[in-house]
Amino acid sequence: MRLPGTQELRSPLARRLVVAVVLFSSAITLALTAFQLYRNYRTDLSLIDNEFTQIERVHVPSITNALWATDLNAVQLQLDGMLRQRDMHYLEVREAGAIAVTTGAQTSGSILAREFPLVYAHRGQTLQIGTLKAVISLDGVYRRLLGTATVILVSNAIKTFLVAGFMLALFHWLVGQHLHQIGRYVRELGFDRLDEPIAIDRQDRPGRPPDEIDHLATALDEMRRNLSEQHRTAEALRERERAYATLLANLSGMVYRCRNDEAWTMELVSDGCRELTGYRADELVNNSVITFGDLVHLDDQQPLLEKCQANLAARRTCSNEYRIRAKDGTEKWVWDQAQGIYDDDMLLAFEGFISDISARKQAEAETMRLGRILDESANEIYIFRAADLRFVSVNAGALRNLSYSMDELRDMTPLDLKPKYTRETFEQLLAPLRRNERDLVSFETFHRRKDGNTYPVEVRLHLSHREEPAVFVAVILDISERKQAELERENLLTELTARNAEMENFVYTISHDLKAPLITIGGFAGLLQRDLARGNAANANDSLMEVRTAVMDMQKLIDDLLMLSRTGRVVGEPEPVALDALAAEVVDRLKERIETAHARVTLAPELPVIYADRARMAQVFQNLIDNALKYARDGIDPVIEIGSERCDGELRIFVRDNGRGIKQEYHERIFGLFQRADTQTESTGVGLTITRRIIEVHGGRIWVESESGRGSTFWISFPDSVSLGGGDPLRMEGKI
Amino acid sequence: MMVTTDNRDVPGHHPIRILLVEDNPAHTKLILRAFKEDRLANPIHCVEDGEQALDYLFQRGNYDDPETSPRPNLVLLDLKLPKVDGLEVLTQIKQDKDLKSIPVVVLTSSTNEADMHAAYSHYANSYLSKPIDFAKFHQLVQELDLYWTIWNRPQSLD
Repeated sequence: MRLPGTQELRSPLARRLVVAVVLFSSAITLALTAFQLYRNYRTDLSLIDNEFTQIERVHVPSITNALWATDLNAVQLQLDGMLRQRDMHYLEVREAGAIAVTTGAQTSGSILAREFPLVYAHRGQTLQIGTLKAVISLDGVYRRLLGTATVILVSNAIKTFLVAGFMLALFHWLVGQHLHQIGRYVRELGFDRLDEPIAIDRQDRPGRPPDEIDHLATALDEMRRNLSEQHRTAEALRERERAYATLLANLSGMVYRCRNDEAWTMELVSDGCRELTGYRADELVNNSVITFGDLVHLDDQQPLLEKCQANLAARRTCSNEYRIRAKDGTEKWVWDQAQGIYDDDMLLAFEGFISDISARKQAEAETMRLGRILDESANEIYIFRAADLRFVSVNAGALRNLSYSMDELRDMTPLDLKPKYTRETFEQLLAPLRRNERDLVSFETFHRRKDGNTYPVEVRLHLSHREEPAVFVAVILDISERKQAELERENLLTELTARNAEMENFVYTISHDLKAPLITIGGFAGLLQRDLARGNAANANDSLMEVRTAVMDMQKLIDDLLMLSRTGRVVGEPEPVALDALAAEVVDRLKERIETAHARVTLAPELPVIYADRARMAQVFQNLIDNALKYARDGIDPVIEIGSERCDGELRIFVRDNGRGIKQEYHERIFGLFQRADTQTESTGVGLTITRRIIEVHGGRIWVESESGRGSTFWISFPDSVSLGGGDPLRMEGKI
Repeated sequence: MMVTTDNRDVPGHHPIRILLVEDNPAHTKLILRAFKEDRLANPIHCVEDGEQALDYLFQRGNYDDPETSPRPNLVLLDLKLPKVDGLEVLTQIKQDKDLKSIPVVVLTSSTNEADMHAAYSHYANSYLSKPIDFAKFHQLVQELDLYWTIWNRPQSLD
């Protein structure tokens, strides 16, 4: 146990306790002492009473007798003996009123006196012979009472002081020191030490039930904890307040509380007001310089007011975009979001935030403009997700061209539009973009419309990483026209090349074939000279004949060549040509030759009507029939059959004969210039060349099916479109 | 057609046999007249297209009898022929181990260098362009005659 310091001992509480205990104890002591004294006093009085009784019973008769016997000595003795009794102070015996015997001394102090009649029975007669007076002094009684009182008081005083001292120590030990500790703890408890729990130095036996000190400590600790918590809360609040203050100050915009009136009277605005409106906060608050309502653009005031009132009345958050005019006159777009403050159903004010969105508005306007332009662009623009290639957005140009709706496209990928690509091949195309190796990939392919038509496109692909999630952007050009032009150019080139080669071949062939009769003429002319020199008329005639034949050959050759050259030039306009009528006409024209050759020509009843150059087609029939007559088999009457059939989307016309036939290896060669199947027929080898040429400028083909000795079938095919009643008329393209 | 001109000027001489491949009958006639004029008695067989020429040379078809269709010692070949082209005939001759030793003289009306080049690149032995200079032609035939007389006599004796 710690020794208490003087300070602690000077505990007023302890002092008061001790004083109270002492006073109370003293009062009780006094009361008890008084009671004790009273009892002692009563005891003494009863003892005195007993003495008197005893005197009456014992001494009075003997004294009476002695007196009767007038033995005064005996009386004296008796009296003296009686005087030895406690507190007996004086005794006297009176006889006939005079004092007979006395003992002791008269006193003036507190006494108790009694007189006993001395009655003597003599002969049956009672005679009062005297009186005995006994006086007992009360001084003794009082002295004893005083002694007793003194002893009790002194002992009680000592006891009281001892108890008081003990109590003082006990109080200190049990209470005082802890109270001091608690006091000191509480005194020293500050916000900085709220985390330290109270610690009381008590020597405890374990399991002691908690006492008041413990309760106090617990209560204090609880209080500390509460305080601590409150403090923390308060700190957090303060921190938040500070943060809010900073936030508000740094906010690019203005926080406000506005009265619900027509002027939009501001009750509170943050510092952002200055940057937003050009006015200081205090200039705006309570309309001290200008009302907020005046800042709002004239055109926006009414709609804003109406929308706000409607929204706020319905207790909805109200957000608006409108224009304000700042102090310097600039117009700004702002975004305002406000919430109402209500008292019951009454809208008192609203609180909100206004920020400058001019830059965003401008960007939006530009973006929208760009978007509109892109959307209306004739180029097709597709945006599809990088992850699953599904379309995200497609411009109007693309929708128009594809005839898909945006909803349909959202479930589609570019693969659905590009029939030439598989997922794999398309991914190979995308790979350099995904790996960031290239910014742009462009290629040409076909797009398939909803109706299944395809059109050639040039695709430019770009991966936009900036979008989240990443998307591919494809700009697509419909290159149908370009492709068409390319195709035409290629066709033209091919045709030119072919024409060139043909021309070269033509010139070569002509130079050869025209030379041949010249050589003949030259040669025989030389021989003719010799024949004439020798006078060999027969030989000379023969030579001259050869020269003539050669000249005629040459004439025919030149005529055919002229015909061929005309075939390659524009002649007549295409027109519907009924082939059966045309063939009949040609057969009629060749009637004489056909008859001479004993030939029979049969025409199928329903030859088609085609769109062609009538005169040229007539020439085709004429050449083919002519050919069939020329190459008839010896001894067999020619049979020529003309008919048609439809096969593989083509219109086919055939001219079949039963002539000599043509070996497989010559099937192509016979169409070449100056190519003859043999040397026996009178032919220049130009007819089939001309025929082929005519068919080709009509967009058709000609070929022969034949075997040597088994006749030939010349086939002419036209695309179905040439046939009238079936499709479009043949496009002649001015080549005939 | 077999034309035999007599060669009585050179007794005991076996004139070389000539195969003429010419589709133009007037030209054939002209060449034969030229031979006749020069009194060349070489046996000349005439065919009028490439197919016949090959049949004759390979002794097949109508020409499978070596007696009537003996191997010629010289081929006069026109380049522009029906059915099988002259160059094709030349190629086949020069690719055949038995025929390739037969000299082939290309006859053509073409003065085109490309034709001449093509003929030589197919191993034509000579190239004569029409109109034929008969003096030159005569000389050629005579030289060939001599060539065969001197070098090929043992062969011709077989």
